[in-house]
Amino acid sequence: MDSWITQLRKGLIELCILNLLEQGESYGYEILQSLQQIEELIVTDSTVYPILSCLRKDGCLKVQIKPSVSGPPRRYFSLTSLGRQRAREMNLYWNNLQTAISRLKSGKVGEKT
Amino acid sequence: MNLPKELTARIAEHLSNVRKNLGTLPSDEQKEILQSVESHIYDALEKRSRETPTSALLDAVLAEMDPPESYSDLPFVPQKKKSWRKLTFILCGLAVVVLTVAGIKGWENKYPNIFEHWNHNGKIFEGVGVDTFRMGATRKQLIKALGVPDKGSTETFLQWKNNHHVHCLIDEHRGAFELRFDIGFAGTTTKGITFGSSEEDVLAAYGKPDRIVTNNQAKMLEWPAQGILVWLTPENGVHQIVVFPPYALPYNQPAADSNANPVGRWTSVDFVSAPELFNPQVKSWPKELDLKALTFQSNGQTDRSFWTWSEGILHHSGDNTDAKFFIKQIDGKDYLFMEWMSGDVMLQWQPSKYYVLKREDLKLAPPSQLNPVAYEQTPHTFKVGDDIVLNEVLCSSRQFAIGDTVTVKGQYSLSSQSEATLLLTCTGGQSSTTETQRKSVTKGSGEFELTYVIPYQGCSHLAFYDKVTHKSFWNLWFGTKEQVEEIEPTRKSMQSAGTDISAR
Repeated sequence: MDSWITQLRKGLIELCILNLLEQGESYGYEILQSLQQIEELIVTDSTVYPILSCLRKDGCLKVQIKPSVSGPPRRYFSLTSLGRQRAREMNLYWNNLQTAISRLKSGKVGEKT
Repeated sequence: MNLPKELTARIAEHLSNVRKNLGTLPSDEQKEILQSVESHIYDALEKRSRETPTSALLDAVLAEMDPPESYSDLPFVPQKKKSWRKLTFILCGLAVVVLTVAGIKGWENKYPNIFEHWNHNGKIFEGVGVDTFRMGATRKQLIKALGVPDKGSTETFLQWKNNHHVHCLIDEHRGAFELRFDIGFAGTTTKGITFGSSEEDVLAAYGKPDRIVTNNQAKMLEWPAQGILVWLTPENGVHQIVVFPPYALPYNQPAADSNANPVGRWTSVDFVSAPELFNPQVKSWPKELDLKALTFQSNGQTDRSFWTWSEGILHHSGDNTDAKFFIKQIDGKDYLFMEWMSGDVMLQWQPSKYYVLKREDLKLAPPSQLNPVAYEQTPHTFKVGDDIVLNEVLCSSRQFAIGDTVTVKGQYSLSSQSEATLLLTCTGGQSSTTETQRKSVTKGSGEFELTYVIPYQGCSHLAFYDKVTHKSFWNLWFGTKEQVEEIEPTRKSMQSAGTDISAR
């Protein structure tokens, strides 16, 4: 896969994870299952779990370990205040970007909305 | 979810392969990712089946997941630099493996069931095995004899179920140490038990089993001293025979002492799969013990900064794990059993093994090794009319450290009570005392000399104790400057509260 798609996907997956966790805490497998509903993202375990780890390390997510009947304890991820802020900033940037690209495609660059 | 050993071994292998591909990520991130991958596998298994998962189910789950190599393809995972030299080395290695496998494959096809060609007279020897498929055989020997193991074999588990109906547990140190024979294997034990034999036949051959395990479908009967166990069902009789090195019956241990105080120094003596398998006469762990000793301090600390303890739990601040521990008195000695939270426990969800530590005997140093030392002491708290004067403090070192012998000499005068006990201990709950560290005194005055060994990190404490209430009514602490400074807040709070510490 081309490098730019990989990089774009990584950013979008981050955005999706943050938005998903806005709705409440979740654990790795559940997050993966939810994201896999967006086919275009092409989300797999080797993509999501390292990103979850990065976001946790960046202070955007916090982890709570809870027992699981299926096996080892699950790591439940939830947003920190920094994570919520990051989600707001990313959503704002994403919306502005979409609008700008739409304008560009329709030849309306420079017009104020 | 309880998984068969074979499946947990395969999961461990998958995790190990993922780990190899995580490049130079920091270890904490690697650990997080591995925990997520492991949880994923268990969650996916459970989603597919509420019953005990099979090997085929695990195959399906792993097939849906990314191969371990995918974890090295990510732009945010730092990569190790590759070189042509390394690539050449790998290609050469691969070539050797391919040629070796091809050679063995050809040999295997020539003899589809090697056991038919072995001179074992159809006998499975208890505690030994069959010919080359025997206790202690190396991986290389087994592969040479039986051919390439079936898919699903790992570093610690080898199987030849398709051709030979056998599998085994193996490790680098012991070689093969548990040999399993399944239905289809043409052989009987030396006592005539074979596949399909009834429970009555088995009991008649081997006698009363020492261990019985039952689950919904099957029953396991084990004779440890004979090196054999069998799995059977009421309908089909014996369906698996397992042999292993004979081992002594578990030592008849007393129950754990829930009131025992762990404060003090402990030396590691063994590492066992289960507490009941510990026998003080026979060390079962063949290798050197990594943890040599551990000191439990009265303030909940240990001599390892990452471990703290409270009420039978040892907490590891780095791993964020809680290991249970308990104390048993065996043959008059205290033994501490401590869960060992290894990677097997944390990542593979295996039952924990146990470190066994023995409370260190506190031996008094001979008088020739004791010298007068400088010391600090707190102001004493006392009842009017009572007094103790320290004339001399002797110690086997200047540090008043754990294991040091301390002797105090002085004079006392007792007027508030008709009798009392003069006791020299270490602060924080010393659980037992000896004759040399206490003296019964009566009203009046006299001289004393008390000696003890400092059992753990703390401040030496000299006190009068009431013979009836066992409460102290005259207290003095002494030791190094640091030790005395550390105890001072406690002393002050006792003084202001007007309370005394209890004799322990």
